[in-house]
Parts: sequence; C-alpha cells; structure tokens
Amino acid sequence: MITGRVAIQTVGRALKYSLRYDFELAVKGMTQATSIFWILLLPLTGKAIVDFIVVRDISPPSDANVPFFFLPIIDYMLTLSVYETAFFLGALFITMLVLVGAYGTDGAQRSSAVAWLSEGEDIATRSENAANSMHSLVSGLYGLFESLWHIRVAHRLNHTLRSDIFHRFKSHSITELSNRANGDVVYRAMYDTPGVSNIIFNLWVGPITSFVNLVTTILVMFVIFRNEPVVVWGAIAVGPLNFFLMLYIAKLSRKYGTLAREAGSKATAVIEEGLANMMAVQGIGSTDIYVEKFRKASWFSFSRFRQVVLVGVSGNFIGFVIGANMVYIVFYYLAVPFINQEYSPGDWFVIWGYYGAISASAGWLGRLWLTLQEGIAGMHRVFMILDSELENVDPISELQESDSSLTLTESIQLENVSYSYPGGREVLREINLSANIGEMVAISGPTGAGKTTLAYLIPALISPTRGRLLVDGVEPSQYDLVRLREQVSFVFQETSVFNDTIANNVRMGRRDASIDDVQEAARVAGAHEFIEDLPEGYETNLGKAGAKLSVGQKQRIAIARALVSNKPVLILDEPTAALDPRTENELVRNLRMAREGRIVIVIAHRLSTIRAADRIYVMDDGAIVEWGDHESLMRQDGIYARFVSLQTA
Amino acid sequence: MRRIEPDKVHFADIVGIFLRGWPYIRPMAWHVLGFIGISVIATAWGTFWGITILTMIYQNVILDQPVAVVSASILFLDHDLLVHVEALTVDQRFQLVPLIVMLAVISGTLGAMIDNGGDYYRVWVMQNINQNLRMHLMSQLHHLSLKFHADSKTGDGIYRLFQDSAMVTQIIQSLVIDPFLMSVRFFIGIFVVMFFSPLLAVAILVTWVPLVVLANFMSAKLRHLFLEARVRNSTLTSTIQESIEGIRTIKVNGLERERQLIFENASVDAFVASHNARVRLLLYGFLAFMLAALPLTFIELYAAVLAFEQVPTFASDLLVLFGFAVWSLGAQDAARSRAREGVSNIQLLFLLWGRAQDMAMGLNRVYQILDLAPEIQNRVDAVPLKVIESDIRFVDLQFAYPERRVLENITFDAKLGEVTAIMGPTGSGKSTLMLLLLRLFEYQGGAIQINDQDIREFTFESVREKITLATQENILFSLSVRENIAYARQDATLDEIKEAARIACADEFIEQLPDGYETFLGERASKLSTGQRQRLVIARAILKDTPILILDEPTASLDAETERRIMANLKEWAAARTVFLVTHRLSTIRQADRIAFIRDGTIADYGTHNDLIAKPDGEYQRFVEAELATAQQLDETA
Repeated sequence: MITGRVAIQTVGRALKYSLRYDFELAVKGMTQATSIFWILLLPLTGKAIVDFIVVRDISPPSDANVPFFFLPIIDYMLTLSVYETAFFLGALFITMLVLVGAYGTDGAQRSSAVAWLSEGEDIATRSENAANSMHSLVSGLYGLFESLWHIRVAHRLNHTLRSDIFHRFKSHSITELSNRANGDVVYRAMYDTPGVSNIIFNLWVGPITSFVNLVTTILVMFVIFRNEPVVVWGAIAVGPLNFFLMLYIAKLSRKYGTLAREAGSKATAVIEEGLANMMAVQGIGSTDIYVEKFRKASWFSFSRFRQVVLVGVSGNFIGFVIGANMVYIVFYYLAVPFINQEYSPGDWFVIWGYYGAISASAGWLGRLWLTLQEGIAGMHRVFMILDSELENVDPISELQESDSSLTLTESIQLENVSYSYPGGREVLREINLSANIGEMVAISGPTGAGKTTLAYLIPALISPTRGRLLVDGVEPSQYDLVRLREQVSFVFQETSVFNDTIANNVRMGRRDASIDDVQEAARVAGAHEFIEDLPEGYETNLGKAGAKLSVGQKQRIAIARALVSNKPVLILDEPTAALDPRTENELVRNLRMAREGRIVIVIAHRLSTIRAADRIYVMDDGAIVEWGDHESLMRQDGIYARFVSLQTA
Repeated sequence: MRRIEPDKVHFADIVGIFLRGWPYIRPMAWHVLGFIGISVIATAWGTFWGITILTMIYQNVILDQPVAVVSASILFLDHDLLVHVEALTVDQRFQLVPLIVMLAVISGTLGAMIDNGGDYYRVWVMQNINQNLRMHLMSQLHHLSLKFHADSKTGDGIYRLFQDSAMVTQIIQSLVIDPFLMSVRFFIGIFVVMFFSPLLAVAILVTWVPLVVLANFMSAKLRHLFLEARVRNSTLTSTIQESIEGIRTIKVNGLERERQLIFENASVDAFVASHNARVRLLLYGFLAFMLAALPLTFIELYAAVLAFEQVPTFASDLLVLFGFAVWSLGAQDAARSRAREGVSNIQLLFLLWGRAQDMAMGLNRVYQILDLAPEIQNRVDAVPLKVIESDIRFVDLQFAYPERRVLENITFDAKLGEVTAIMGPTGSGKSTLMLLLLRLFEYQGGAIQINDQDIREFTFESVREKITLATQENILFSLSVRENIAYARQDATLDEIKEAARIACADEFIEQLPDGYETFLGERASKLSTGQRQRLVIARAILKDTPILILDEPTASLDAETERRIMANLKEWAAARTVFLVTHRLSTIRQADRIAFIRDGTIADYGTHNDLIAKPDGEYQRFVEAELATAQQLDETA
C-alpha cells in the first residue's frame, strides 16, 4: 500500500516530470491567474444593477465600497439616467460575455469552458475526462483560448507519458517481461496515464491560481470592507478545516484508488487472456467458465470503484457541512451591519461574491491533498514502470546507441557460466560452450533441461550470474554487448507476427530488404510456396497475431525474418518442431549452407535436425552432459545414443 | 454489419441507438425508478428550502419587508406580528437571523445526506446496467466463429468492452432524467416569470430557436469526430496490446526503436483525434452559451428597470402572497433567478445533445458486434447429441476460407476406441479439419457424421461438450498447476488431477516444483519449458474426459523418451474413446491405430501404418522414407 511518504515522493516526481512542459504550464498558469481579475469584477457589476437601477441608491456611501479600478465606471454611471444606465450596463455585460463569458452578481451567467464527455461508472472511462478537465474559471474568448491551450498540453503530456511507459516497458529484461500480464500494461498505458496529466495541473496551476485568487480577493475585501474581518477569516478557515478533517479520507482515497486500478487491470488481463486464446478456451469447452471468470473480474472492478465513490461521497458530505456551516456563521455576524444600514443592499452581493471566491480557493487548497490521492494511485502505477523497476531493466536495451566497433569475426564462447533466475533458482550450471564462424551448433536434451535459457545468454538477453561470455576470445564491455545483440538474430519457439503485411513482417529483420530479398529468404525458410498461394501473396495482412496462419506457417515467416536480416549469428529455438519432414529437410539443408560466414545455433529434439550440426551439446538438468559430433556421441553410448535409438527404433 | 455513417444520421437513428439499451436497463428498472425518486426528492427539497431561505434573507433581514404568508405558515411564525404589517422592526429582523441559520443548517445537512446517498445508489445501479451489457458483449464475442476473431484485434475488444459499453450507463441519466429535469426547469422558469411579466417569459421561451439551429449545424461533424476518436483510441489499445505480446521478437530483432515509432504514431493519431473532438465540443459549448446568455442579459436589465419603476407585477393579486405585489429587489431577484435557471437549463440540454452524439457513436460500436449473427447457429430442429455409439465419419467434406480453398473431398472414418493420426505437410489443413469437427468453423459441403447423422443436426453445444482439443499453442492461464489442469473441470478431485498428470507424464516434474501442484505459474507460465507446458495442456485435456480427444502436435516439443511414454499411456487410456492426433512426427504417427494423410486439402492416403508402408509408391511410404533418409542425405551434402 502507498504510505503518505511515498505519496509525497510520487507528487514530487510528478512535479519534476512536468518540468518538461514548463513553458506550456507557465502560459496556462498565467492565463488562469489573470482571469481572476475578471472574476473580481463580477460582483461589482451585480452591485451596479442593484444600486444604480433597482434601488437607485446612488448617495455617496455606495461608491466608497468600490475598488479603485471600478471607480471610473461608477463616476460615469452617476451622470446617467436609469435607462441610460441600463443600456450602458447592457453594453458592458455583452462585452464581458464575449470576453470572459460572465457578468453579474455571483457571475450570474458565468460558465467555465468545458469539453466534458459522458463517462461510465468505472475508472477507465473517467480517466479520459479527468485529463480533459481544464479547470478554467471563465469562458468567452479568454476561456476559449485558455482551454484550447490546456487541451493541447494535456494531450501532449498523455502522449509523452504513454510513450515513456512503452519505452521503459520494452527495456525490461526478458525474464521480467514474461512475468507481466499484457492486460496490465495496456491498462497502465491507456487508463493510468491520463490521470497524471490532470494531477500535474492540480499541482501547478491549481495551487498557484488559488493562492493568487485568495490573496487578491482578501486584499480587495480588506480595502472595501475593512470592518468585516469575520467574513475573511471565516472564508479562510474553510481551508484548514477541510485539510484536517479530510486527512483520514485522503488516506482511504489513496488506498481504494489503488485497489480499484488493480482490479481494473485484472479485468483487462482477463479480457486479453480470453480473446487472445479464443481457440484454447473453446477447445476445452470452458467458454462458460471463462465468461464467468470475466463476470467476476468485471464486477469486482466495479465494486472496487464503488468504494472509491463511497470515499468521495463522504468527502463531499464533510466538505458541504464545513462550507455550509461557515456560511451561516458569517451570515449571523454580517446581518448586524446590514440591519443597521451600514451597507447598501447592493453590498450584500459584493460581500457574498468575495466570500465565495475566498472560501472556494481556501477550500480547494484544503482539499488539494484529497484531490491528489486518487490520481496518486494511478501515478504511482505509472512511475512504478517508469523508474522503480530499474533492477529489472535490461541494461543493454537502455544504452540504445553504442560507439563500440565490436564485430564478431571468429567465435562466441561461454566459460564456466552459471545462471540463476532472480528468484534464486539455478537453471544453468558450469556451462562451457563454443561456436565458431562457419559452424552449425545444436543444443539438445530433455524438456526443461535449460536449452532456451542457455540460448538467451548468447545475445546477452540475460547476463551470467557466474562465468564469462567471450566474443572472439575477449570479454565484451556493456557497449560491445549492444553491438553484439545487433549481430544476433533469434527465432523463438513461439513466434509472433505483427499486424502488417507478410512482406513487412519479414522485413522487420532488415528494413531496406528488397522484395527479392524477402522472397529469397522466404524460399530458404520454406515459406514462399504457401505465401504465393494466398490471394494477396506477400501483401496479405496478418490480422490478430496472424490467426489466419498455422503455427508452422508463422514459424517459417519468423525464420525468413531472421534470414533476411543477414546477421553473423543465427539462433533458432526448435525451428522444425512444427514442420513436416520434407520442409524440415530442406530447411536444415539450407541452414547448413547458411552457416558459411556465420554461426548457426539450433535448439532441437529431432534427430534429423540435430545430426546435421557440426557439434552437438546434450544438456540435462541445467548442465552440458555430453558434446561432440554425431559419430563421436554415438560412440560414447550415453544419453545421446539412447535418445537416437529411441527415435530410429 | 450495419454501419451507421456519422454524417447520415437522423434524430430518429440516435433515439433508436439509445432505445436499444433498454434490455440492459430493464432488470434494474425498479432501482432506476428508486434513484429517480430519490433525486426528485433531493431536488424538490433543495429548491424549496433554497427559495424560502434566500427570500427571507433578502426581504426580511436585508430589507424590512413583511414575511411571506407561505414561509410564515411553514415556520409557525406569528402572522399578526410578522405578516400583516407594513414593515418589520429592527428587533424582529434580528430575531429572524438565528431561526434562518438553524433552518438552513438542518435542511442543508439533510439535503446533502439524501444527495450523496442517492449518488452512491446511482453508481451501483448504473454499474449493474453496464455489467449486463458487458456480459452480453463478452458472450457474443465468444459465440462468434473463429473467422471473426482472425480479423479483429484483442485491443479493440478491450476498448469496446470498457469504453464503448460504459455509455449505456448514461442513457437513463443523460437521455431521460437530465433532459426531463432540464425541460421541467425550463418550463417552470417560463411559468414563474410569466406571473411577473409575460414579455420576459416569451424572451425565455424563444431561446431554444437559435440553439436548435446551432445543434443542427454542428451535430454531424461532432459525431464524425467522436467516432474517429473512439476508433483511433481503439487502434492505439490494439497497438499496445500487440507490441506487448510480441515484445520478445521485437527485442531480439533490435526493432525497439522502430516499434516505438509505430506506437508513437498510433498515440499521436489518438491524441489528435481526441483533441479535435474535444475542441469541437468546446466550441459548440461556447456558442451555445453565447446564444443563451444574450437574451438573459436583456431579461436581467429589463427586470431591474421594472423594479426601479416599481410597477405592479403582472399577476400581482397572486404574487402578493409571496410578497411580490410590485417589482422590488426581491421580485427582481426571484424573476431573474428563475429566468436564469430556465435559460441555463435549455442551454445545458443542448450541451447534452452534443455529448449524446459521442454516446451514440460509442454504443453503436458495441451494437456492431452484437448485431453480427454468429456464423455457427443451431438448426431449428437440432437435438442434443447424447452418447457417441459409432465411428466418426468424414464424408466428402469441403471447406474454404473466403480467400482460398482449404479442404476438398475429405472422406475417412475415425474408429471408436482407436487413435487416428491426421498427418500431412505444414499448412495442409489438418488443424482446420479438427476445428470443423468442433464446429468452430462451418463446412460448406459434405458432412461429418456421428451416429450416422450429420453433426449439424445436433446442437453445437452438445457436440463441443463431447470433444476436448489440446491446442498446438500451449496456452496456460496465470493460475496454479492444479487449477490449470482442472480449468475445464473445476470439480475434479486432487486424485483425478494427479492421475491425468500421470498419463501426460507431467507428474514427475510437477512434484519437483517448489509447491508441487499448488505452484503458481504466473503469466504465460514462463517458469516452465515448452515441453512441460505441453504436458500440462495434455493433462488438462485428459482430465476433461470427453469421448473425443484431439491432440494438435502433442509431442512437438517433447524429447523422444517422454514422447514414447505419453503415447503408450494415451493408447491405454483411449480404450472406449476416439482420439485424434494431428502431427507429422513419424515416431508419434507410428503409434496410431490408423493414419489419414492429408495433402493439398484432400486425403492422399488412409490406413494402418503396416498397410500404408506396404502400399507401393504411396504418399505415406514416401514420407517415411524421406524421414528416415534425412540423416543420410545430410551426411552426403555435408
């Protein structure tokens, strides 16, 4: 759970992050802070209607209670008849309407510029609106400009955050990546980020504006009604009262905000799991079980959101009780001077207008900590990806650029390498392996022996816990590893294709590959034939994770992708498992030819694939138990020989 | 798919979209009425006390007017002293202050309690409605054939389930309650002001005319932009989802920067689309506000002038009861606030119409999916399949995807109690054949027969119940080992689970896991090797214990030793069942009782291993030779 301390740190990080947009935020802050001037003017226009038209009480005391900037207008109106005043005020109001969308008593017709859209009763749909609440105080041309500016900055912030999350996510180490629910990352990028841009405004623009608003209004108030300090102190007291009475509510808000987001993430993961694995779910007849699982996850996330609502409702109620009671206390004191006719009836509106402005700002500041909490929950989840998981980040992918000139010319060696998962389980022990340019090396052994993990070591997708990786006989630096990875092509056992044409999927190996290169690689991988059979051939779009293709076909596209990249090291994890013998034979023959000038490493069970290798490493339970070529291994009469006899029997 | 073009939508279409939400609202209808009741009470409560208290403050405290008859009666005040007098004394005015404060505190606190309680209740009701739609959408997604899923994206499903379906919660609030309340306030405003001045009432009445023109002018464009924003955000969700799914491939191919670019482009598209939609809505709101505020300025000043002239109000005989026989500060305030409320409500109503365009587009995206007729449907006279008493016969079966033929003239029998291997080159249609048996796709010609009847004469649910498919992609869920094996039969005992694991040769490695059967597998079960996952998938299929079992490439990732043992166990287990093995591994095929060899979408060879190997120049024989010859060939080329 997020403690108060972590919450403050999270807020600090958000502030730091927002400095990237310092200019944009400053403009927004300036426009909003200056809009206060207009708001200060509003009660005075209300007073003008009452005192100059309705009551027509223009004897001197009425202009004594007016700030200096409104005096010229008062002086001018003193020269006008009632009807002329009405026309004059009409013109003034229309001007103000166009400029700031407001005039009159409590801002009689005041609107703030909004572009609020309908939302549901869950966090996901609310996040969009949260990001787009502009906190504008006024409307009209002034508010319009401010809002346009705001929307633009908010969307840019969102975009930047989303991109950063994605960037950081893909930098995670390969072991960390496989532990993460896809749905969780989707939720963070789509629904947790919008809250952050809102919070950044709440942190910057809100407090500054409220503070400026507070100070200016108090000053004006003291200038006009210096005999009524209770109005000012009463209004200010709303702030601290809100803050202290809501400290506990704030804690609850943070807690339930986090829980609600976690539940939303979980529901997303359930959808993702079911839709992405439709066939597996239907194949074992568990559709009902799955739908029931979704029903629970969905309702659970709704319930969690209701707890957030309950906390919010309690906060509203407390806020209302504080605000309302303070109004009545002030009214109680203020009734005296009015009954004693120390002020004109029009002053009533001015005082309440200013009281409203002060208590709103003070209340806003007092509730700021509460307002931030729910956002902090989302923000914390965003920053968790952005920085607190540094220990899981793949150092090489962080480096991106490298001026290393490492080029693999001879060999890759693993020397006494052991590897343990972050959890502590040792999966590789004392591995010694070498592969030279021009060789095809096979790694074989029973399931679960650690073959794939061993292969991850070569492009430094994971780093040895003990022992060394040598490139051309020397230990490479971090920067060299960037270059090393660029020289390795890896085909996974469970391959991915992307929502693009087949040609572009192959081209992912090398962007500038011509269509001839693509076709050549596809031919070598045994994919050309079936691709040509498709009505759109190489231009066929592979929809959702290539659901149109069989596993074997996807695998061949992945192999073509690796081949077209033309890199010095080619690693294939079970490339032939899903292939029929004829295609397999052809592929293995092609791979043997491909080893000219490069290293080919193949992980396989199938004898027909393995025996083509120059050297075979047989693994069992995390260690290499036998190695050599087919003939010498057969002579050793160990695990390998037994394995061969099983397959040929 | 019925598509709604945002440019060619009429009022009736929008209303139609919203009416379709009714089935999801209906189960909660009483609760909806309940919370409408609460909001009506809360609104009436607040309005009544608000007017009463404010009037007393203005008229009786600030000014010295007598208390209105109605207020005095409610508060049990002495009519002789406070109502039927010329003016209130200073003392009387002071005495009213504590009374007003007490009244305000009590009525306000009670009002806030009803308000906030009602709010929480509303959330609960709306979530239930949303849940109903989500569940319908989810089960529809699961009943659409795999063909639909081949063309649609997971991220899109997430977006529709979350964002688009949520709009159903707004139907009641934004399209029934709010417009109703807004219209009522609009007419109340007109009604009240009419007693003060008919001219002002007319001024309020005509405000809707320019607003209609504006709404008419901007709706189509708004719909267009809203739809665009939803589509783009949906695409962005898909892009994120897909990138995450393929992250390993992206990493090792050094495509991180390129993928980042694709992602950022999708993000920018989403950002621009949402931005444009919001800006347009902002502009719409601004214009609507201007159109409503101008008449209001006139009303306000005109009322002020009337108050100055102290002319009698229009219905002064009636208004005298409220203390407004002539225009005064109080009368001006009362008339002005009603007018303001009336006009701002009609303005809000039109703002709502703007937002309704977005809701309609969102809901329509949900209906698009719900409107798709599931391709697989039961015939009207379909009966449940009870017991399988015969072989499964494939008779001249035909199947094609829209773009290409996959299977033609497939004819063979899979015998009860036997293991039938379906083999053939990669992409020859083996897996598709099995999906046809499961009725996940619909075949176009020929038939699959069980008990001598076309399986389409049975309900597809009952056919699927009899079949278990272990897919080639070893899909496990982020649950424990035990829960994964028991996923499709959650009532299985631990002994049954262990027995299934034993048959699948999974028990040995499970026992070695830190928590045995309770070991939590985590996302994509990445702690296990592919071969181990494969064995769990087989164990899950065995535990389901259906008369028909399909294993798609069950042994691809297994070493020879484990494969031999699993196959031996399976043959024993298969006794009274029909088992299909989809594979091209010779060592696996040889253990099958009968072999169907598919090539280019047709049956090229069918029989037992011994029959086929003896058949001169048969496809199967050539295959076996190729397999055995591989090693030698390779030695030669080396």
